[in-house]
Amino acid sequence: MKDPKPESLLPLPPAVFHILIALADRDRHGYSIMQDVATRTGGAVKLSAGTLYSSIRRMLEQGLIEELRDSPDPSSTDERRRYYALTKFGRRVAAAEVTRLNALVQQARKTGLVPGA
Amino acid sequence: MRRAHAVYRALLHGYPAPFRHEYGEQMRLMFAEQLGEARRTGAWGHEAQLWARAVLDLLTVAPREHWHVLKQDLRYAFRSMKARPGFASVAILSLALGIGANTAIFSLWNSVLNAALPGVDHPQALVMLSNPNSIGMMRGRWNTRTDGPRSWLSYAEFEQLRDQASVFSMLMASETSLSTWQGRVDRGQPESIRGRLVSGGFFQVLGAQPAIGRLFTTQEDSGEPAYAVISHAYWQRRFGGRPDVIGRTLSLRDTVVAITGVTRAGFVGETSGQLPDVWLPIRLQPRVLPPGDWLHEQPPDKMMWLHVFGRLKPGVSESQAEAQANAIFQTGLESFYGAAMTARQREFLDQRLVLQSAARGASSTRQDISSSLRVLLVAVGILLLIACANLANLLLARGAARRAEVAIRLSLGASRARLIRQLVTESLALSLIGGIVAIGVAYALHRLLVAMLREVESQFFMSFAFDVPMLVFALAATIGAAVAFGALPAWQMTRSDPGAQLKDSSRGAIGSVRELRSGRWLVGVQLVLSLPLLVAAGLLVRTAYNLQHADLGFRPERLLLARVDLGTLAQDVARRDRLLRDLRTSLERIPGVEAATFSHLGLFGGGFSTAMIEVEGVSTEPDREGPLDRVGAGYFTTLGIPIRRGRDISETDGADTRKVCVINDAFSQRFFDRRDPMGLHVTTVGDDGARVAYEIVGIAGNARTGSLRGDVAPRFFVPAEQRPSLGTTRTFMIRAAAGATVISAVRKTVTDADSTLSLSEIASIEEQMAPYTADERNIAQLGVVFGTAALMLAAIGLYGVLSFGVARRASEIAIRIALGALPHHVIALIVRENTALVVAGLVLGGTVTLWGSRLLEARLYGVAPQDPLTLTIALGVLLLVAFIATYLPARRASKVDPVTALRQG
Repeated sequence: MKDPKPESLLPLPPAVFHILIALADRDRHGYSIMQDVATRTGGAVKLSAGTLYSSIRRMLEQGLIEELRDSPDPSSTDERRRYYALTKFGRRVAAAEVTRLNALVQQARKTGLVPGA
Repeated sequence: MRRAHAVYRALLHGYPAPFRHEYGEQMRLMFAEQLGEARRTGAWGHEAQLWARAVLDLLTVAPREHWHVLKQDLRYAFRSMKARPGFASVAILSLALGIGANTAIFSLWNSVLNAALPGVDHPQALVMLSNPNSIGMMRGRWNTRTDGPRSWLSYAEFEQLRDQASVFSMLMASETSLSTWQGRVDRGQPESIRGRLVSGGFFQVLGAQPAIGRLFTTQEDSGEPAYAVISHAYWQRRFGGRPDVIGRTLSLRDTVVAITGVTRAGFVGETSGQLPDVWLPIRLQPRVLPPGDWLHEQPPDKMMWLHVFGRLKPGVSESQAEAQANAIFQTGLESFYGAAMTARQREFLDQRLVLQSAARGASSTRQDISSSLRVLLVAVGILLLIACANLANLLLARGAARRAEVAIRLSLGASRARLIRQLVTESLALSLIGGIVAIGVAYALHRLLVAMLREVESQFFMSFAFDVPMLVFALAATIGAAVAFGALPAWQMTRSDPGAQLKDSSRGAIGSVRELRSGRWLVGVQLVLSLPLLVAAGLLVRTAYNLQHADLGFRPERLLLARVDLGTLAQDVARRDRLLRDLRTSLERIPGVEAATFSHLGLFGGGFSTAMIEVEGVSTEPDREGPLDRVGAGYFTTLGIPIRRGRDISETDGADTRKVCVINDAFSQRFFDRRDPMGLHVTTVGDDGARVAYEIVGIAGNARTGSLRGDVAPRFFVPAEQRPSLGTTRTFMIRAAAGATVISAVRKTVTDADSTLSLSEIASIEEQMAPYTADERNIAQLGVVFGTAALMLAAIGLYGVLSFGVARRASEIAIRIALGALPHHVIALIVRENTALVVAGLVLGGTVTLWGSRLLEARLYGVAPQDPLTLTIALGVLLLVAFIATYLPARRASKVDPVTALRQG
């Protein structure tokens, strides 16, 4: 199946974007994603299990992430954990979302709504 | 901790199964870690927050996931419908027809039986003092012992109740039957106008509001108001809904009334199933419904013709109201019959009123129509079940073809529950589309049914109610049908071992033994269901035939009935009698007329007439009512009723000659047993004690004159001139010669005889009797349609399952043929194998039929519910169909080329 245009999935729901960011630097399991998001946002965003796995289900279907067959972490003790990784398409979608948000911020600055950097 | 896990696991059951299977474990792990962390930090708030979010997820995320799965299933369902458009359209069409027919009949039945009066304010609070199930009028005296509580009231009785009763906040009266006039709009051409006379307060009691103009108030009861209120439907139909209708006039007889208002759409008045064009003030009765004044009491007879409706005052119970109404009614009766009452008149005081709810309004047809509709509802219900069994069969056969797909999905890890859910969703989607189309089908069928009912009851009216009960019924039928035809195949398809399935399908085999067995089982069910429908259709057809060919006791061939309105002549006795004699003779002189006579009641005209009688030599019993008719000369000869002894009524039986009568066989048997009635007397006794003795001069055969069912009542016939009557119409019965058309000559003869006479109706006896057999004819026609449909569905089902079975056994049959079996051996083998199934189905069906046919008993005529001939024919037809459906696939199998079949196998 050919991937759709990244723009067709924009704007991304906040939870999805957070998950994409969390998976950018390494593959993670669900709990780790949740922790990473919480840490990065200073505890402001806490993904619940339902929201997290509902998003993961959708992202898998959309081809933004994939499930890994083996644990990437040799020290992992729990075999039941499932690990997820960003796909190339997922990276492109994340990039497209960043571009979209950037453009939005630029516009806000241009109009003087917020002070320029 | 363990308990927390158990609770969380339980919460996970709120998610759809596929999601839970995929992520439940992960969510549980995550929750456990979060919980452990929260407890380590010791902050109670953290744990509470965790639980709150779990519950919030259940309320927000879980429904989203359910919707997601449903969307997937529906997408899958539509894809599979598109892939097999033939099956989908057969399924949708048969479901739409099945559910539509059920919905239409249910909706009509529900409206007729249960629906509150439309357009009426708080119908539950409406009460009535007359009998809601009875429509008509009666002049004379009411006898509680034979007639029960009073059905209708006179106008004076209504006035007494209205003026004296303190328990009602308001009372009103209305004419029980609908009157039809040949009236004119703005003095234009005559046209038919149906209307009803009502008292002032009619619209207030019902709580009706005008669409435009104004409705009657209580003012209309005094003075001589010449106003009319018209119905919304009449306004739209006749006046195109134009607002300038107010002030336009209607001429009814010699009275011109002005339209003052239009009721709102949907309002039909106080009688369910009838829609008047116009409502008129009751004060107009003597002018628009002559002859006679029905507004004032004229002892000794009462004219009872009104329904009385009202609303109770707050805090008054129904029993209090009934007691007070009866007290007033009693006082009225006593003053009516006066102080000098004879012993017989005193009996008339024993009358009472029954107060009952009028939420559903009055209706004379409610009981009959609802019982017909119940029969139909059972029939179409069975039909829908048969159609479902057929669809289940088709799905099973299709399931065989889809087996490989299902097996692959099962072996790839799809859960069985998930697959069943998907397959049931598919059935449900088909059924829902069918159900939506069914609403349209129901609407069309409803119109058809109402048109059929109108043949029985010409004034029947019922609009299609798009109401909650109807929608609930349609939805229930839709879901029920989906489960009925979808569940078994879904269960069956996902049942077996996927490995064996895949092996099987790669070898080209279709279907499993188990599937074959389910299919056969379904065919059995179809046979069980079809037989009662076929038998019922047969019984109803025979009933309709018997009714139309019933022995009437008179010759119906070429008999014409002409109802003549005497107008003002009715009061001028001498002139009237002379005119009737002359008219009869003139009619007989018309070329092509063999004979003519007349009577008060006519034939199948709906009227009846009785007198209190004493029969000579028979000990007197009180309240012996004898039905009678007043007839003209040559009555029995003209109608072809055999005279067993003595003579017919003749021209010589005049007002001043010896009083005579002719009795029928039933009368003779009832009163005279073995004595010879000739020369004995039948004496009528009036309310005032006046006695008139009629000598029996003839005995005639029994003839049916008012009803096709039951025994012919003992009846006696007196010469019209020898018994006075207030009746204003006479029915002439004219026997035409073969091939002669005499209608226009009859019309001319009547109008030429005297300008005051008018011909109010002319019809053949067949036309006159049509309403008496219409109900049965309609039901029989529908029964034949349903029976044929059931037969065809069962045949298709049988054929489908058997050819499926034969196809599956192609290689076995090929081996038999290769080993030397002859084609007819193969055919015999297959037919034999299916005989058991067919016989079992028919035996069970026969039992159901014998048990169920009793429900039809009341509708049958001249045929017993367990009629062996009908049952035998129905069995024969089903056996024949079953044989053909078995034989064709068997023959095909016997022609199999063994080499090809074995290579394919």
